[in-house]
Amino acid sequence: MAKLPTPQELIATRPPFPEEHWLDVRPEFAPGSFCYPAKKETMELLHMPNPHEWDPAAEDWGLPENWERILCDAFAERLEKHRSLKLFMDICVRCGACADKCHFFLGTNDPKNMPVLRAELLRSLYRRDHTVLGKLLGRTVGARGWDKSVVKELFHYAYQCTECRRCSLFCPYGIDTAEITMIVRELLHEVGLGTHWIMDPVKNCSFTGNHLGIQPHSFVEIVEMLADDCETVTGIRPKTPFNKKNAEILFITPSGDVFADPGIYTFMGYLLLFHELDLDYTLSTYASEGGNFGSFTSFNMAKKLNAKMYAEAERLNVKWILGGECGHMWRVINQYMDTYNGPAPDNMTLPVSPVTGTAFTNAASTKMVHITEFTADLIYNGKLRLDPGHNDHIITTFHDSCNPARGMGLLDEPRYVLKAVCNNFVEMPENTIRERTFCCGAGSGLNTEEIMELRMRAGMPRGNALRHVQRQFGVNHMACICAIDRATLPPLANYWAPGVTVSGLHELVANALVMTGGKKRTMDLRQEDLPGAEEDGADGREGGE
Amino acid sequence: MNLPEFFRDNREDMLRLWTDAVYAGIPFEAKGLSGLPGTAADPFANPGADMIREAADALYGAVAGEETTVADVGAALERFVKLRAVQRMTPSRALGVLYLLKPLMRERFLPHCAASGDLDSYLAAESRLDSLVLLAFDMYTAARETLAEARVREIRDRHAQITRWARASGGGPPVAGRDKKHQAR
Amino acid sequence: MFVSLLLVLLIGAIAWAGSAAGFASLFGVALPYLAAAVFVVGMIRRMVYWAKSPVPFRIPTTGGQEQSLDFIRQAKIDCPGTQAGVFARMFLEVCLFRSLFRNTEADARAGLPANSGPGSVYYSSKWLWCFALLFHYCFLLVFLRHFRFFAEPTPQWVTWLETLDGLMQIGAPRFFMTGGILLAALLFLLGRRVFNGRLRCISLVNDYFPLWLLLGIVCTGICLRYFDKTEIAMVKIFIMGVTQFSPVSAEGIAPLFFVHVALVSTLLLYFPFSKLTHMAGVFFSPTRNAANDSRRVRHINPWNPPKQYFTYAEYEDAYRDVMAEAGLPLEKEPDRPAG
Repeated sequence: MAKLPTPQELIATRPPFPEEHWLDVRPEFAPGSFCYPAKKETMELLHMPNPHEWDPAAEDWGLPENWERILCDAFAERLEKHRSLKLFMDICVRCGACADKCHFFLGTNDPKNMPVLRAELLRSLYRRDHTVLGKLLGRTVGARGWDKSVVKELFHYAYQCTECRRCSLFCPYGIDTAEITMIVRELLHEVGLGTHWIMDPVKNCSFTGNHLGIQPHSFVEIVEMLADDCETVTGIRPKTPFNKKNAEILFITPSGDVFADPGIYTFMGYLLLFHELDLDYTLSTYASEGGNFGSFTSFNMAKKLNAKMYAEAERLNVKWILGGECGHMWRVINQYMDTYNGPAPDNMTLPVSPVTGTAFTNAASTKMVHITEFTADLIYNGKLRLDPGHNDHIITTFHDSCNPARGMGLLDEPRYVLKAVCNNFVEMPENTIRERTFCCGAGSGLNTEEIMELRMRAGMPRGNALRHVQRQFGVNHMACICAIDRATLPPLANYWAPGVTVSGLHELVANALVMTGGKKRTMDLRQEDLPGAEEDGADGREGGE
Repeated sequence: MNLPEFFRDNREDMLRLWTDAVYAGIPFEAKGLSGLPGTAADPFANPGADMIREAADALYGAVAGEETTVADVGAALERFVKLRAVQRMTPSRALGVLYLLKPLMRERFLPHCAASGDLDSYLAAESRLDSLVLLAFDMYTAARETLAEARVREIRDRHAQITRWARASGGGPPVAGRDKKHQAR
Repeated sequence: MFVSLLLVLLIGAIAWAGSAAGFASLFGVALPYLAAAVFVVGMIRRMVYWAKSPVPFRIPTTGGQEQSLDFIRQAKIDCPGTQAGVFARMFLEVCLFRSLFRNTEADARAGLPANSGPGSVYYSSKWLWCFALLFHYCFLLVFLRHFRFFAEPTPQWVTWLETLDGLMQIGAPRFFMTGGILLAALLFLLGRRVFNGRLRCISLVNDYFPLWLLLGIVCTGICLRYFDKTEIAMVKIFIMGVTQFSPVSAEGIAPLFFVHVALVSTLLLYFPFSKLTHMAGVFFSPTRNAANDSRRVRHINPWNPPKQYFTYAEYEDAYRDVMAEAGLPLEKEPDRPAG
C-alpha cells in the first residue's frame, strides 16, 4: 500500500519551533521575504559608501573588510547626533504595550516584528558597547556583539517596518520605532546595503526630478496628456504652467501622481481645481518630486532631495509652496524640511490663499501649505461650486496615512473636504483611524511587487477594517491622501475587500467640482460613466458663465 | 445521544482544541507566542485571532450539519484562508489545518457512533469537512491568483501614464484616448 | 528569571548573615552611603549623557488634530502647538500614563463565538495601565511615608499620609493599604512576564531583577512592620544618625532591617545603569516633549550638514536641449538652435 503522509504529518513538516532565545533565532531569506538589493552603479552614482553587488539570499553579503568597525563607529556617531537614539536605547522597560500595535506583527506573528523586539535587535548591540552592565555581564543582560548574521537580521527587520509610528503612540515613553528603523537603515547603507526600490527612485529623483527618471520634455508631455483627458471629461483644458518665474505659488506633488494609475486622476483633480480658481501657480520639472525616497535611506539623503524645493522656489521667485497629497513627503516637510534646508528663501512670504485671503500662519516658517488645508479653506469660505451628487455612486471611507496622521496631525482637513464632496461617508472602526490608523503595509519604500505577500500580511489589519465597513455599510471606495497609498491600497483592497476602489481626495473634489463653462459631466475623471447621467436631459453645459 | 447532540455538547471543547492546533502550526516565527492570539478579543486590535475564531465557528457548524449556505460558510472562512495564503507555508499546510478537525472527531465522536451503529451520520460529517476543504481550496487558489495578478497590475499601473505617452509619441499601437471601459480592470 | 530571583535572595542572605555576624554598620551605613552617592552621581551622569546629544529634529508623535485653520478644532493636548500644550501632555503622560491608557479605548467588540482563548482579557493593556499606575503611586506614597524615619520631629504631612493610608483601620500596627497594593501590583507585573508568552519572549534578566528586588524590599518592609516588629525608636535613631552623617551603633536592631536596607541600596546602585532610568528619561522623550510647531517655528539642528544637491544649473546643463525643444523657459539658451 502506498505510504502517503497524513494531513497531520503534512502539517507537521514545518521546521520545529526553535527552543532558543530570540537572540539565537536567525531570519530565513526566502524569496518573497526581502526586497531586491540596490544596484552597484546606483549606489556609486549617489556616492553611497561601499557599493557592491550582493544577494540577500546568498550566504555571503560581500560586506567590506572592516564592516564591524564601520558599523560600530557609525552607531556611536548616531548616538552622539541623536538624543532620541540614546534615550530609546536606554529607557525601554519592555512593558509590551507596543507589541500588538504593529501591523507587521499582527500580520506575520513574527515576535521580532513586535516593535519592542525590533528595537531590541539594536539595543542588544548598544548594551555591549555603551552600557556598564552590558560590558560586564554580556549575554546575561541581553547584550550581544556584531556578527554577519546580526547584520542580516537588522536588514530583514528594518525592511519589515514602514516607519508608521503607531507603536510610538502607545509607548508610555514615546519610543519611536520609526526613528530606530531609520537609523538602522542608515547603518546598513554605511556597509553598502540598500534596496533597489528605494535607491533607484533616489537616484532618479536626484538627477531628473522624478522617481522614474523621466526627462523634462517627456514629463511635460505626460502632464499635457492628462490635461487633454481633463478636457475630455469636463470640456475644459486646464493650463499646465511649467517653470514659470514670478508665479505666486509653486505646486509640488509626488511624481507618482503623474505616472501611476490611480494617482493620475488625483493629479487631474489638481489641474482642474487650480484652473477653476485661476490660480497663479507653476509646476516645476526640476523639483517635480514631492515624495522623498531619501527619507527611507538616511537623513542626509532626505535633506539632499528636499533641498530642491527651496532652491526652485528661490529661482522661480514664488511666494509660497503648495504641496500635494503625500504621506512621507509631508512628514519630511512638517518635521524636517525647515531644519534641513531652511530658512525659506527671502523671496517667500507667509502663505496667504489668493482666493480667500486666509493666512496660513501654521506654516509661517516653512511657507509650505498642504493641499487639503488649502481646499478645506476654499470650501469653508464658499469659493468652490460643488455638486457632491457626482460622487453619489460611491460610499466612501477615509484612510488616514500614517505620516500625516502621526507625524503632522492632519486629520480633520481631509475629512472636511471629503464630506463636502461626497454625500456618503463612513468611518472605519474607531481604533483603526485617525492617529490610530493602520498602515497600508507597504510604506517607507516597501511598495515593491517582489514582497507582495508580505505586504498583504502587513496590510491585513487595514484590509480587515476595510472589509468590515464594506460588509456592514456597503462601502465601495476608500479615499486617501498619500501617493504610496494610491499605489499600495488597490492591491490590498483587491485582496482583502474586493470591490473597493481607491483614489486620492482631489480626484473626488474634481469629480464634484462644477467648472465655470464646463460641460455637463457624464463621466468621472476615470472616464467611467456616471450612473444616471444619461437619463437627465442633455443640454450640454453646466455652470454657465 | 446522537451525533448532532455530540457536536452541540462538545462545541466549546472542540473549537478550543482545533484553534490550539491552528496556533501550534503557525510557522516558526510564532515561538513563545502562545499567549498572543487570545490577548485581545477586539476584531481590529487582534484581527488574526478574530479570523481564526470566525473560521472555527463556521467550520464546526457546517461540519456538524447545522443549517447554513455555501456562501455563508465561504464568507466566514474567507479571511482565514486569505491570511494563510499569504503566510509563508506550503498550500498543504495552509489548508491542511482544516483537516485537523478529523482526528478530533475520530477521537471523540467516532467511538460513540460506532457503538450505536450510527456510522452513516459520522461519515456524512466527515464528508462535509472534505467538501469544505475543497471550498477552501478554491478560495486559496483564487487568493493566489489575485496576488499574481496584483504583481502584474502594480507594475503596469506604476507606469500607466508613461506607457500611454510612449504609445502616443513613439508610434506604438495607437490608442484613442483612454477608454477605461475597454481595459481589463 | 530564576537567576535574578536567586541573585536577590543571595543579596538578602549576605546582608542577613553579615549583619548578624557583626558587620551591621557595613550594611546599614557604608552601603547606603555608597548607594546614595552612586545613585545621585549615576543619574546625573546619565542625564548629562542624554543631554549631550542634541535633538536634531522636531519629531513629536502627533496624537490628534494639528493647529490649522480656524474652523478646525485642534487637539491641544495630544497635538500641542504651544509650550502650555506640551506641559499638559507631559503632565498627563507622567502623572497618568496617558499613552498606556490609550490602549483601553478599543471598542466595537464582535459577538464572540465560543472560544475566546484562555486567559485572554486578563492581560489586556488596561490592566497594565491600572497596575502600573498603582505601583508607581503606591511606591511614591510608601517612599514619602518613610520620612517618618528621616526627619525629627516627624513632619505633619507624614502623619496625615499615614492616617489616610491606614484608613481601613485593620490590625495593629495599623495596616497601610499602599504596602499591600504595592505588593499586589508587583506580583501582577511579574506575573504577566511569567505567564504571558509574548511578554516572556521579550523579558530579560534586566526586567525580572528589578521586580524581584522590589518584591524583596516590599516583603522585608512589610515583615519589619507587621511580623518581625522592629524597635521603631531604635531604628529611627539609627537612621537619623546615618542621615546626619554621625552614625550610631546598630546594636540591637534585627538583621532583617539590614536586609531591607541592603536591598534598597542595591536598587539605588542598580538604578542608574538600568531601564529604571525611564524615571528621568521620560522627560527627555523627543516624541512627547516638543510642540508640533515645526512649520511655524524653525527648529535648529546643530550638526546640520552643508547642503549638497543636484542644482538647477547642473540640471539645466544636463537637459538644456530637450527642455528648449519642449518650450520650457531656460536660464541660459542652448548654443545651437534646438532641432
